[in-house]
Amino acid sequence: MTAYLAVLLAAAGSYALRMGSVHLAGRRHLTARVEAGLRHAALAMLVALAAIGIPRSGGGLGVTPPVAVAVAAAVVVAHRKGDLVIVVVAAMVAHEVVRFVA
Amino acid sequence: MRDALSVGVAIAPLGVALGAAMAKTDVSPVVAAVTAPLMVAGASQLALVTQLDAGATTVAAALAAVLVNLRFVVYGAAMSPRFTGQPRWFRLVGSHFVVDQTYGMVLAIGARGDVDDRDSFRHYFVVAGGLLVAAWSLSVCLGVVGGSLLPASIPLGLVLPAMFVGIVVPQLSGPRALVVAAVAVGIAVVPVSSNLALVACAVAGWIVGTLPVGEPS
Repeated sequence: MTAYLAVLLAAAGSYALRMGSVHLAGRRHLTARVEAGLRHAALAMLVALAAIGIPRSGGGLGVTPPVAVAVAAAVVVAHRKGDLVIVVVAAMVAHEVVRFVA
Repeated sequence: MRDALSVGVAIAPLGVALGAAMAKTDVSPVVAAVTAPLMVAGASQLALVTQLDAGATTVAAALAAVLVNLRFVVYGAAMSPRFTGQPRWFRLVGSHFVVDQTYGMVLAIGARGDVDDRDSFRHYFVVAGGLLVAAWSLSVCLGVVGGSLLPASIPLGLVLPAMFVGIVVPQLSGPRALVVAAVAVGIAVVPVSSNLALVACAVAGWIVGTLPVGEPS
């Protein structure tokens, strides 16, 4: 039950962000500083989620070579403006190749 | 229509992989599946489910999921001129379709000079957004239901970080964004609660992003 409530809260919050920005920005212009703050706060969150989500072995900072190579491959492909699907597939393929070789 | 179909086809594999990754957690498959049509944001959906799986409280998990979507404020603000003067029903329904892909599509039609008048934009956005949400929801459900049929050797644990890397790296243009990313990584690897780390990163990102350093006077 609490999980459903969390989904509803997250959905309502996300919708409020979308609708609020569409409506309020139409009436009141966001200052460049506020826009930069929002953009960089979201960027920091996404970077943190990527770092937190990296599978670790045995806790701490322990990252296995296949995972390290997979993340590096994702960064390289994303840097070359690769599609999101291609980035994910590249990471998985790199992981499996290194795991197979090792 | 063609834009929406091509984007829908492109996001389907990601939706299936995301659904399969969420199915690997202890969170109910129904809960994982309903996140798709209600939230329409893969990163946020996965953040919510993984936070719940890690034992976060209801509010903390929801807050983390919402904070991930802060970028929608920028998208919504950028798209607001297209929504001005539109019927109320469209502003309410269309807001739900403000996502990474539709933002990209609106930027693209703006660059092409297509879909200029309000009526054609409304038609375009409802069709594109509706198809996108339908394709996303269906593919996530397929992943949740059929994820167990995927070979165990597929490293689904990489879907989350790779997806975030794919969203973040193209945005790392300029020294300020790189500093924000470095600070965020520094905070994220500290072994504290992930909720605390996420909030600290959002605050740090805001501070670094608004510092009056390196700006022309």
